[in-house]
Amino acid sequence: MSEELHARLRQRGRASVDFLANFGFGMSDLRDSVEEEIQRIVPDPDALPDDLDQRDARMQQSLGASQAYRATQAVGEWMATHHGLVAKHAFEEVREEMEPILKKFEQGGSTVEANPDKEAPAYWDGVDFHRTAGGWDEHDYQGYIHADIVHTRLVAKTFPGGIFAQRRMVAALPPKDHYDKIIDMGCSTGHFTRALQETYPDAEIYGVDLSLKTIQQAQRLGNANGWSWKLFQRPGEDTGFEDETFDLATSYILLHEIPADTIKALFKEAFRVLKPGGDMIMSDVTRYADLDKLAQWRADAGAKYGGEPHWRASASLDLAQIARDAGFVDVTAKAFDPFKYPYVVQGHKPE
Amino acid sequence: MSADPKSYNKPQRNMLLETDVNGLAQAVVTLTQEVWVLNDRQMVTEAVLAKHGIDIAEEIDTFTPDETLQSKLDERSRAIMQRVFNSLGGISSDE
Ligand SMILES: C[S@@+](CC[C@H](N)C(=O)[O-])C[C@H]1O[C@@H](n2cnc3c(N)ncnc32)[C@H](O)[C@@H]1O
Repeated sequence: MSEELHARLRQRGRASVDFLANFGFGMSDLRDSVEEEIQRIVPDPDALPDDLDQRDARMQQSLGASQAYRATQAVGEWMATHHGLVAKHAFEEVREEMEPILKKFEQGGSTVEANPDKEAPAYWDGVDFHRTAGGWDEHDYQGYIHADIVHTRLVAKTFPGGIFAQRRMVAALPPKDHYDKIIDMGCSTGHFTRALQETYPDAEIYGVDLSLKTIQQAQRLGNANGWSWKLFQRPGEDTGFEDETFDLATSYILLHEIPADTIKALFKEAFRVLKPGGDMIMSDVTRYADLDKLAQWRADAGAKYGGEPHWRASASLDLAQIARDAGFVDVTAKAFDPFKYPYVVQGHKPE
Repeated sequence: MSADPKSYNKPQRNMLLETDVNGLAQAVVTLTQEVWVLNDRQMVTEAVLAKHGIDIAEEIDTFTPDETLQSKLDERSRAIMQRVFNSLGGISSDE
Protein backbone atom coordinates (compact mmCIF):
# COMPACT_ATOMS: atom_id res chain seq x y z
CA MET A 1 0.00 0.00 0.00
CA SER A 2 1.29 3.47 -0.84
CA GLU A 3 2.77 5.11 2.26
CA GLU A 4 0.37 8.01 1.99
CA LEU A 5 -2.59 5.64 2.20
CA HIS A 6 -1.17 3.98 5.31
CA ALA A 7 -2.77 5.75 8.29
CA ARG A 8 -0.65 6.97 11.17
CA LEU A 9 -2.86 5.87 14.02
CA ARG A 10 -3.13 7.78 17.26
CA GLN A 11 -1.95 6.18 20.49
CA ARG A 12 -5.25 4.70 21.58
CA GLY A 13 -5.98 3.12 18.21
CA ARG A 14 -2.38 2.08 17.63
CA ALA A 15 -2.03 0.38 21.01
CA SER A 16 -5.46 -1.28 20.69
CA VAL A 17 -4.62 -2.66 17.27
CA ASP A 18 -1.27 -3.90 18.58
CA PHE A 19 -3.15 -5.58 21.40
CA LEU A 20 -5.18 -7.49 18.82
CA ALA A 21 -2.07 -8.32 16.81
CA ASN A 22 -0.52 -9.90 19.89
CA PHE A 23 -3.65 -11.71 20.95
CA GLY A 24 -2.67 -15.10 19.58
CA PHE A 25 0.60 -14.96 21.52
CA GLY A 26 -1.29 -13.94 24.62
CA MET A 27 -3.40 -17.09 24.25
CA SER A 28 -0.44 -19.40 23.73
CA ASP A 29 -0.40 -21.05 27.18
CA LEU A 30 -4.13 -21.62 27.04
CA ARG A 31 -3.83 -23.06 23.57
CA ASP A 32 -1.00 -25.38 24.60
CA SER A 33 -3.09 -26.64 27.46
CA VAL A 34 -6.10 -27.24 25.19
CA GLU A 35 -3.83 -28.95 22.69
CA GLU A 36 -2.67 -31.42 25.34
CA GLU A 37 -6.27 -32.07 26.21
CA ILE A 38 -7.14 -32.68 22.55
CA GLN A 39 -4.27 -35.15 22.16
CA ARG A 40 -5.57 -36.94 25.22
CA ILE A 41 -9.19 -37.17 24.14
CA VAL A 42 -8.48 -37.85 20.46
CA PRO A 43 -5.69 -40.42 20.31
CA ASP A 44 -6.89 -41.48 16.86
CA PRO A 45 -8.55 -38.85 14.65
CA ASP A 46 -9.89 -41.55 12.32
CA ALA A 47 -12.13 -42.79 15.13
CA LEU A 48 -14.04 -39.50 15.26
CA PRO A 49 -17.58 -39.49 13.82
CA ASP A 50 -17.80 -38.98 10.06
CA ASP A 51 -20.60 -36.47 10.28
CA LEU A 52 -19.16 -33.01 10.96
CA ASP A 53 -21.97 -31.95 13.28
CA GLN A 54 -21.73 -35.14 15.29
CA ARG A 55 -17.98 -34.76 15.40
CA ASP A 56 -18.32 -31.25 16.74
CA ALA A 57 -20.86 -32.37 19.32
CA ARG A 58 -18.41 -35.06 20.48
CA MET A 59 -15.52 -32.59 20.67
CA GLN A 60 -17.60 -29.98 22.46
CA GLN A 61 -18.78 -32.50 24.98
CA SER A 62 -15.26 -33.69 25.77
CA LEU A 63 -13.57 -30.31 25.68
CA GLY A 64 -16.42 -28.65 27.53
CA ALA A 65 -14.98 -30.25 30.68
CA SER A 66 -11.76 -28.27 30.30
CA GLN A 67 -11.59 -24.86 31.96
CA ALA A 68 -8.76 -23.87 29.61
CA TYR A 69 -10.94 -24.73 26.60
CA ARG A 70 -13.88 -22.74 27.91
CA ALA A 71 -11.54 -19.84 28.49
CA THR A 72 -10.16 -19.99 24.91
CA GLN A 73 -13.72 -19.88 23.67
CA ALA A 74 -14.68 -16.91 25.81
CA VAL A 75 -11.50 -15.00 24.99
CA GLY A 76 -11.77 -15.95 21.31
CA GLU A 77 -15.33 -14.64 21.28
CA TRP A 78 -14.07 -11.28 22.48
CA MET A 79 -11.66 -11.17 19.55
CA ALA A 80 -14.36 -12.21 17.08
CA THR A 81 -16.77 -9.53 18.21
CA HIS A 82 -14.24 -6.77 18.92
CA HIS A 83 -11.64 -6.73 16.15
CA GLY A 84 -13.95 -4.89 13.76
CA LEU A 85 -14.88 -2.35 16.41
CA VAL A 86 -11.31 -1.70 17.47
CA ALA A 87 -10.26 -1.19 13.84
CA LYS A 88 -13.18 1.15 13.25
CA HIS A 89 -12.43 3.23 16.34
CA ALA A 90 -8.76 3.45 15.38
CA PHE A 91 -9.84 4.79 12.00
CA GLU A 92 -12.27 7.30 13.51
CA GLU A 93 -9.39 8.85 15.47
CA VAL A 94 -7.60 9.70 12.21
CA ARG A 95 -10.59 10.14 9.92
CA GLU A 96 -10.18 13.88 9.65
CA GLU A 97 -6.64 13.74 8.35
CA MET A 98 -7.18 10.59 6.25
CA GLU A 99 -10.39 11.58 4.48
CA PRO A 100 -8.80 14.11 2.07
CA ILE A 101 -6.15 11.52 1.16
CA LEU A 102 -8.77 8.82 0.62
CA LYS A 103 -10.84 11.19 -1.53
CA LYS A 104 -7.78 12.20 -3.53
CA PHE A 105 -7.13 8.60 -4.52
CA GLU A 106 -10.72 8.15 -5.65
CA GLN A 107 -9.61 10.27 -8.64
CA GLY A 108 -7.45 8.82 -11.38
CA GLY A 109 -7.31 6.04 -13.93
CA SER A 110 -8.95 3.43 -11.71
CA THR A 111 -12.74 3.64 -11.83
CA VAL A 112 -15.67 2.18 -9.91
CA GLU A 113 -19.11 1.37 -11.27
CA ALA A 114 -21.57 1.18 -8.36
CA ASN A 115 -24.77 -0.81 -8.65
CA PRO A 116 -26.82 0.37 -5.68
CA ASP A 117 -30.14 -0.75 -7.14
CA LYS A 118 -29.22 -4.32 -7.84
CA GLU A 119 -30.47 -6.57 -5.04
CA ALA A 120 -27.64 -8.25 -3.17
CA PRO A 121 -27.88 -12.07 -3.01
CA ALA A 122 -29.20 -13.73 0.16
CA TYR A 123 -25.96 -15.66 0.68
CA TRP A 124 -24.13 -12.35 1.18
CA ASP A 125 -26.61 -9.67 2.23
CA GLY A 126 -26.82 -9.14 6.00
CA VAL A 127 -24.13 -11.74 6.75
CA ASP A 128 -21.44 -10.52 9.14
CA PHE A 129 -18.54 -12.18 7.32
CA HIS A 130 -15.63 -12.66 9.74
CA ARG A 131 -18.09 -11.60 12.46
CA THR A 132 -17.53 -7.98 11.47
CA ALA A 133 -20.85 -6.39 12.42
CA GLY A 134 -22.48 -5.16 9.21
CA GLY A 135 -20.33 -7.33 6.94
CA TRP A 136 -18.21 -5.96 4.11
CA ASP A 137 -20.13 -2.74 3.63
CA GLU A 138 -21.00 -1.54 7.13
CA HIS A 139 -18.94 1.66 7.37
CA ASP A 140 -18.28 4.42 4.80
CA TYR A 141 -14.66 3.41 4.78
CA GLN A 142 -15.05 -0.29 5.55
CA GLY A 143 -12.81 -1.24 2.63
CA TYR A 144 -10.07 1.05 3.85
CA ILE A 145 -10.44 -0.12 7.44
CA HIS A 146 -10.29 -3.70 6.33
CA ALA A 147 -7.28 -3.33 4.03
CA ASP A 148 -5.15 -0.92 6.04
CA ILE A 149 -5.99 -1.93 9.58
CA VAL A 150 -7.38 -5.46 9.71
CA HIS A 151 -5.37 -6.93 6.85
CA THR A 152 -2.11 -5.02 6.92
CA ARG A 153 -1.72 -4.57 10.67
CA LEU A 154 -3.36 -7.72 11.98
CA VAL A 155 -3.70 -10.60 9.55
CA ALA A 156 -0.40 -9.90 7.75
CA LYS A 157 1.50 -9.98 11.05
CA THR A 158 0.75 -13.60 11.82
CA PHE A 159 -0.70 -15.33 8.76
CA PRO A 160 1.42 -18.40 7.90
CA GLY A 161 3.21 -17.79 4.61
CA GLY A 162 2.44 -14.07 4.49
CA ILE A 163 -0.70 -12.78 2.79
CA PHE A 164 1.10 -10.64 0.22
CA ALA A 165 3.91 -13.06 -0.66
CA GLN A 166 1.34 -15.83 -1.13
CA ARG A 167 -0.64 -13.73 -3.59
CA ARG A 168 2.47 -12.88 -5.59
CA MET A 169 3.41 -16.56 -5.73
CA VAL A 170 -0.05 -17.50 -7.04
CA ALA A 171 -0.21 -14.59 -9.52
CA ALA A 172 2.94 -15.93 -11.18
CA LEU A 173 1.50 -19.44 -11.74
CA PRO A 174 -0.55 -18.96 -14.94
CA PRO A 175 1.30 -20.40 -17.94
CA LYS A 176 1.81 -17.31 -20.11
CA ASP A 177 4.19 -14.43 -19.50
CA HIS A 178 1.74 -11.90 -20.73
CA TYR A 179 -2.01 -11.32 -20.52
CA ASP A 180 -3.78 -8.45 -22.25
CA LYS A 181 -7.03 -8.49 -20.33
CA ILE A 182 -7.62 -9.99 -16.88
CA ILE A 183 -10.76 -10.33 -14.76
CA ASP A 184 -10.30 -10.72 -10.99
CA MET A 185 -13.50 -12.05 -9.41
CA GLY A 186 -14.19 -11.07 -5.79
CA CYS A 187 -11.29 -8.63 -6.05
CA SER A 188 -12.34 -6.93 -2.78
CA THR A 189 -9.78 -4.30 -1.69
CA GLY A 190 -7.40 -5.38 -4.44
CA HIS A 191 -4.63 -7.33 -2.72
CA PHE A 192 -4.60 -10.05 -5.37
CA THR A 193 -5.37 -7.56 -8.14
CA ARG A 194 -2.20 -5.80 -7.12
CA ALA A 195 -0.17 -9.02 -7.31
CA LEU A 196 -1.61 -9.59 -10.80
CA GLN A 197 -0.73 -6.09 -11.95
CA GLU A 198 2.79 -6.37 -10.60
CA THR A 199 3.23 -9.72 -12.36
CA TYR A 200 1.68 -8.58 -15.65
CA PRO A 201 2.49 -4.86 -15.72
CA ASP A 202 0.88 -4.20 -19.14
CA ALA A 203 -2.36 -6.06 -18.44
CA GLU A 204 -5.66 -4.23 -18.43
CA ILE A 205 -7.39 -5.41 -15.26
CA TYR A 206 -11.09 -5.63 -14.48
CA GLY A 207 -12.34 -6.42 -10.98
CA VAL A 208 -15.81 -7.42 -9.80
CA ASP A 209 -17.08 -7.68 -6.23
CA LEU A 210 -20.47 -7.45 -4.51
CA SER A 211 -19.09 -5.00 -1.96
CA LEU A 212 -18.95 -1.38 -3.06
CA LYS A 213 -16.84 -0.27 -0.09
CA THR A 214 -14.12 -2.78 -0.81
CA ILE A 215 -13.81 -1.92 -4.50
CA GLN A 216 -13.63 1.76 -3.55
CA GLN A 217 -10.54 0.83 -1.59
CA ALA A 218 -9.20 -1.16 -4.56
CA GLN A 219 -9.70 2.01 -6.60
CA ARG A 220 -7.58 4.01 -4.14
CA LEU A 221 -4.88 1.36 -4.18
CA GLY A 222 -4.92 1.36 -7.99
CA ASN A 223 -4.73 5.14 -8.22
CA ALA A 224 -2.05 5.45 -5.56
CA ASN A 225 0.10 3.21 -7.78
CA GLY A 226 -0.87 4.76 -11.12
CA TRP A 227 -2.84 1.69 -12.30
CA SER A 228 -6.07 1.89 -14.30
CA TRP A 229 -8.33 -0.79 -12.88
CA LYS A 230 -11.95 -1.03 -14.01
CA LEU A 231 -13.92 -2.05 -10.94
CA PHE A 232 -17.56 -3.09 -10.93
CA GLN A 233 -20.00 -3.82 -8.14
CA ARG A 234 -21.26 -7.01 -9.73
CA PRO A 235 -21.37 -10.69 -8.78
CA GLY A 236 -18.67 -12.95 -10.15
CA GLU A 237 -21.27 -15.45 -11.32
CA ASP A 238 -23.01 -12.83 -13.45
CA THR A 239 -20.46 -10.24 -14.55
CA GLY A 240 -22.42 -8.77 -17.45
CA PHE A 241 -19.36 -8.79 -19.74
CA GLU A 242 -19.52 -10.02 -23.33
CA ASP A 243 -18.55 -13.59 -24.20
CA GLU A 244 -14.83 -14.05 -24.94
CA THR A 245 -13.62 -10.78 -23.42
CA PHE A 246 -10.67 -11.84 -21.22
CA ASP A 247 -7.36 -13.69 -21.51
CA LEU A 248 -7.14 -14.66 -17.83
CA ALA A 249 -9.87 -15.14 -15.21
CA THR A 250 -8.90 -15.29 -11.53
CA SER A 251 -10.23 -15.38 -8.00
CA TYR A 252 -8.34 -15.45 -4.73
CA ILE A 253 -10.04 -16.74 -1.57
CA LEU A 254 -13.48 -15.77 -2.85
CA LEU A 255 -14.91 -19.30 -3.17
CA HIS A 256 -15.22 -20.11 0.55
CA GLU A 257 -17.50 -17.09 0.88
CA ILE A 258 -20.11 -18.33 -1.57
CA PRO A 259 -22.46 -21.34 -1.67
CA ALA A 260 -21.76 -24.41 -3.79
CA ASP A 261 -24.26 -23.66 -6.58
CA THR A 262 -22.85 -20.12 -6.91
CA ILE A 263 -19.32 -21.55 -7.17
CA LYS A 264 -20.45 -23.74 -10.05
CA ALA A 265 -22.10 -20.74 -11.73
CA LEU A 266 -18.94 -18.69 -11.20
CA PHE A 267 -16.72 -21.24 -12.98
CA LYS A 268 -19.21 -21.29 -15.87
CA GLU A 269 -19.16 -17.51 -16.01
CA ALA A 270 -15.35 -17.47 -16.05
CA PHE A 271 -15.45 -19.93 -18.95
CA ARG A 272 -17.97 -17.81 -20.83
CA VAL A 273 -16.09 -14.51 -20.56
CA LEU A 274 -12.70 -16.05 -21.43
CA LYS A 275 -11.44 -15.95 -25.00
CA PRO A 276 -10.71 -19.34 -26.57
CA GLY A 277 -7.23 -20.29 -25.35
CA GLY A 278 -7.70 -18.19 -22.21
CA ASP A 279 -6.51 -19.30 -18.78
CA MET A 280 -8.29 -19.65 -15.43
CA ILE A 281 -6.77 -19.68 -11.94
CA MET A 282 -8.90 -19.86 -8.79
CA SER A 283 -7.41 -20.15 -5.31
CA ASP A 284 -9.13 -20.92 -2.08
CA VAL A 285 -8.84 -22.40 1.37
CA THR A 286 -7.56 -25.87 2.31
CA ARG A 287 -9.81 -28.70 1.12
CA TYR A 288 -11.34 -30.81 3.86
CA ALA A 289 -10.28 -33.80 1.76
CA ASP A 290 -6.64 -32.84 2.42
CA LEU A 291 -7.12 -32.82 6.21
CA ASP A 292 -7.54 -35.56 8.79
CA LYS A 293 -10.76 -35.59 10.79
CA LEU A 294 -9.32 -33.60 13.64
CA ALA A 295 -7.90 -30.90 11.37
CA GLN A 296 -11.25 -30.78 9.57
CA TRP A 297 -12.94 -30.20 12.90
CA ARG A 298 -10.54 -27.36 13.68
CA ALA A 299 -11.19 -25.70 10.31
CA ASP A 300 -14.91 -26.23 10.68
CA ALA A 301 -15.02 -24.75 14.19
CA GLY A 302 -12.94 -21.81 12.94
CA ALA A 303 -15.57 -21.22 10.26
CA LYS A 304 -18.47 -21.61 12.67
CA TYR A 305 -17.15 -19.05 15.15
CA GLY A 306 -15.40 -16.91 12.54
CA GLY A 307 -18.44 -15.80 10.53
CA GLU A 308 -17.99 -18.13 7.55
CA PRO A 309 -21.37 -19.72 6.75
CA HIS A 310 -20.31 -21.14 3.38
CA TRP A 311 -16.86 -22.45 4.30
CA ARG A 312 -17.82 -26.04 5.11
CA ALA A 313 -19.76 -26.68 1.92
CA SER A 314 -17.22 -24.84 -0.17
CA ALA A 315 -14.15 -26.54 1.33
CA SER A 316 -15.83 -29.93 0.79
CA LEU A 317 -16.17 -29.45 -2.98
CA ASP A 318 -13.96 -30.96 -5.64
CA LEU A 319 -13.11 -27.72 -7.43
CA ALA A 320 -11.15 -29.41 -10.22
CA GLN A 321 -14.25 -31.41 -11.17
CA ILE A 322 -16.37 -28.27 -11.09
CA ALA A 323 -13.84 -26.59 -13.42
CA ARG A 324 -14.04 -29.55 -15.83
CA ASP A 325 -17.83 -29.53 -15.70
CA ALA A 326 -17.72 -25.87 -16.67
CA GLY A 327 -15.74 -26.78 -19.80
CA PHE A 328 -12.15 -26.17 -18.74
CA VAL A 329 -9.48 -28.57 -19.98
CA ASP A 330 -5.98 -29.43 -18.72
CA VAL A 331 -7.33 -28.82 -15.23
CA THR A 332 -4.83 -29.11 -12.39
CA ALA A 333 -5.24 -28.64 -8.66
CA LYS A 334 -2.48 -28.13 -6.17
CA ALA A 335 -2.46 -27.65 -2.40
CA PHE A 336 0.62 -25.75 -1.31
CA ASP A 337 2.63 -27.08 1.60
CA PRO A 338 3.01 -26.95 4.53
CA PHE A 339 -0.62 -26.03 5.25
CA LYS A 340 -2.21 -27.25 2.02
CA TYR A 341 -2.99 -23.60 1.53
CA PRO A 342 -3.71 -21.97 -0.77
CA TYR A 343 -5.47 -24.57 -2.87
CA VAL A 344 -5.06 -23.54 -6.50
CA VAL A 345 -7.10 -24.75 -9.45
CA GLN A 346 -5.96 -23.92 -12.97
CA GLY A 347 -7.45 -24.67 -16.37
CA HIS A 348 -7.64 -23.61 -19.90
CA LYS A 349 -10.47 -22.81 -22.33
CA PRO A 350 -9.99 -24.82 -25.52
CA GLU A 351 -9.03 -22.88 -28.67
CA MET B 1 -27.37 -23.10 0.76
CA SER B 2 -28.53 -25.09 3.77
CA ALA B 3 -29.18 -23.06 6.95
CA ASP B 4 -29.78 -19.31 7.03
CA PRO B 5 -26.27 -17.81 6.69
CA LYS B 6 -27.27 -15.05 9.10
CA SER B 7 -27.39 -17.66 11.85
CA TYR B 8 -23.58 -17.45 11.69
CA ASN B 9 -23.71 -13.85 12.90
CA LYS B 10 -24.23 -14.95 16.49
CA PRO B 11 -23.25 -18.61 16.86
CA GLN B 12 -23.98 -20.60 20.00
CA ARG B 13 -20.68 -21.21 21.74
CA ASN B 14 -19.45 -23.44 24.51
CA MET B 15 -18.17 -20.69 26.83
CA LEU B 16 -17.71 -20.12 30.53
CA LEU B 17 -19.84 -21.92 33.07
CA GLU B 18 -20.91 -20.80 36.51
CA THR B 19 -18.04 -22.86 37.90
CA ASP B 20 -15.63 -20.58 36.05
CA VAL B 21 -16.76 -17.50 37.87
CA ASN B 22 -13.96 -17.65 40.46
CA GLY B 23 -11.31 -17.86 37.79
CA LEU B 24 -12.98 -14.93 36.14
CA ALA B 25 -12.82 -12.88 39.33
CA GLN B 26 -9.09 -13.64 39.61
CA ALA B 27 -8.59 -12.51 36.04
CA VAL B 28 -10.53 -9.30 36.49
CA VAL B 29 -8.55 -8.34 39.58
CA THR B 30 -5.24 -9.11 37.85
CA LEU B 31 -6.34 -6.92 34.99
CA THR B 32 -7.43 -4.11 37.27
CA GLN B 33 -4.03 -4.14 38.93
CA GLU B 34 -2.27 -3.92 35.56
CA VAL B 35 -4.48 -1.11 34.38
CA TRP B 36 -3.91 0.73 37.61
CA VAL B 37 -0.12 0.41 37.46
CA LEU B 38 -0.19 1.87 33.97
CA ASN B 39 -2.54 4.66 34.91
CA ASP B 40 -0.35 5.60 37.81
CA ARG B 41 2.76 5.58 35.63
CA GLN B 42 1.12 7.68 32.95
CA MET B 43 -0.13 10.31 35.39
CA VAL B 44 3.20 10.45 37.18
CA THR B 45 5.06 10.76 33.86
CA GLU B 46 2.90 13.62 32.71
CA ALA B 47 3.23 15.35 36.11
CA VAL B 48 7.03 15.01 36.09
CA LEU B 49 7.24 16.39 32.58
CA ALA B 50 4.85 19.23 33.34
CA LYS B 51 7.17 20.17 36.23
CA HIS B 52 9.81 20.64 33.53
CA GLY B 53 7.39 22.65 31.38
CA ILE B 54 6.78 19.92 28.78
CA ASP B 55 3.30 18.99 27.49
CA ILE B 56 3.64 15.52 25.91
CA ALA B 57 0.01 14.53 25.33
CA GLU B 58 -0.14 15.34 21.60
CA GLU B 59 3.27 13.90 20.89
CA ILE B 60 2.26 10.63 22.53
CA ASP B 61 -0.87 10.52 20.44
CA THR B 62 1.05 10.79 17.19
CA PHE B 63 4.12 8.78 18.21
CA THR B 64 5.22 5.83 16.05
CA PRO B 65 7.39 3.37 17.97
CA ASP B 66 10.64 2.30 16.30
CA GLU B 67 11.42 -1.38 15.89
CA THR B 68 13.20 -1.77 19.21
CA LEU B 69 10.42 -0.16 21.18
CA GLN B 70 7.79 -2.02 19.18
CA SER B 71 9.28 -5.38 20.09
CA LYS B 72 9.43 -4.40 23.74
CA LEU B 73 5.80 -3.29 23.56
CA ASP B 74 4.80 -6.55 21.90
CA GLU B 75 6.57 -8.57 24.54
CA ARG B 76 4.94 -6.65 27.37
CA SER B 77 1.43 -6.85 25.91
CA ARG B 78 1.75 -10.59 25.35
CA ALA B 79 2.86 -11.07 28.93
CA ILE B 80 -0.08 -9.08 30.27
CA MET B 81 -2.54 -11.00 28.17
CA GLN B 82 -1.04 -14.30 29.23
CA ARG B 83 -1.43 -13.45 32.88
CA VAL B 84 -5.07 -12.52 32.42
CA PHE B 85 -6.03 -15.32 30.06
CA ASN B 86 -4.20 -17.93 32.10
CA SER B 87 -6.06 -16.91 35.24
CA LEU B 88 -9.26 -17.29 33.29
CA GLY B 89 -8.29 -20.76 32.12
CA GLY B 90 -7.06 -21.91 35.50
CA ILE B 91 -3.42 -22.13 34.38
CA SER B 92 -0.93 -20.87 36.90
CA SER B 93 1.59 -18.43 35.48
CA ASP B 94 4.40 -17.76 37.91
CA GLU B 95 5.57 -14.26 37.35
C1 LIG C 1 -11.90 -12.73 1.15
S1 LIG C 1 -12.42 -11.50 0.09
C2 LIG C 1 -11.44 -11.66 -1.36
C3 LIG C 1 -10.04 -11.27 -1.16
C4 LIG C 1 -9.32 -10.66 -2.32
N1 LIG C 1 -9.46 -11.40 -3.57
C5 LIG C 1 -7.88 -10.50 -1.91
O1 LIG C 1 -6.98 -10.93 -2.65
O2 LIG C 1 -7.66 -9.94 -0.85
C6 LIG C 1 -13.97 -12.05 -0.50
C7 LIG C 1 -14.69 -11.00 -1.30
O3 LIG C 1 -15.64 -11.66 -2.10
C8 LIG C 1 -16.74 -10.81 -2.25
N2 LIG C 1 -17.85 -11.62 -2.76
C9 LIG C 1 -18.63 -12.49 -2.10
N3 LIG C 1 -19.47 -13.09 -2.95
C10 LIG C 1 -19.19 -12.60 -4.19
C11 LIG C 1 -19.71 -12.84 -5.49
N4 LIG C 1 -20.68 -13.72 -5.72
N5 LIG C 1 -19.18 -12.16 -6.53
C12 LIG C 1 -18.19 -11.27 -6.33
N6 LIG C 1 -17.67 -11.01 -5.14
C13 LIG C 1 -18.17 -11.67 -4.07
C14 LIG C 1 -16.90 -10.20 -0.89
O4 LIG C 1 -17.65 -9.01 -0.97
C15 LIG C 1 -15.45 -9.97 -0.50
O5 LIG C 1 -15.02 -8.69 -0.86
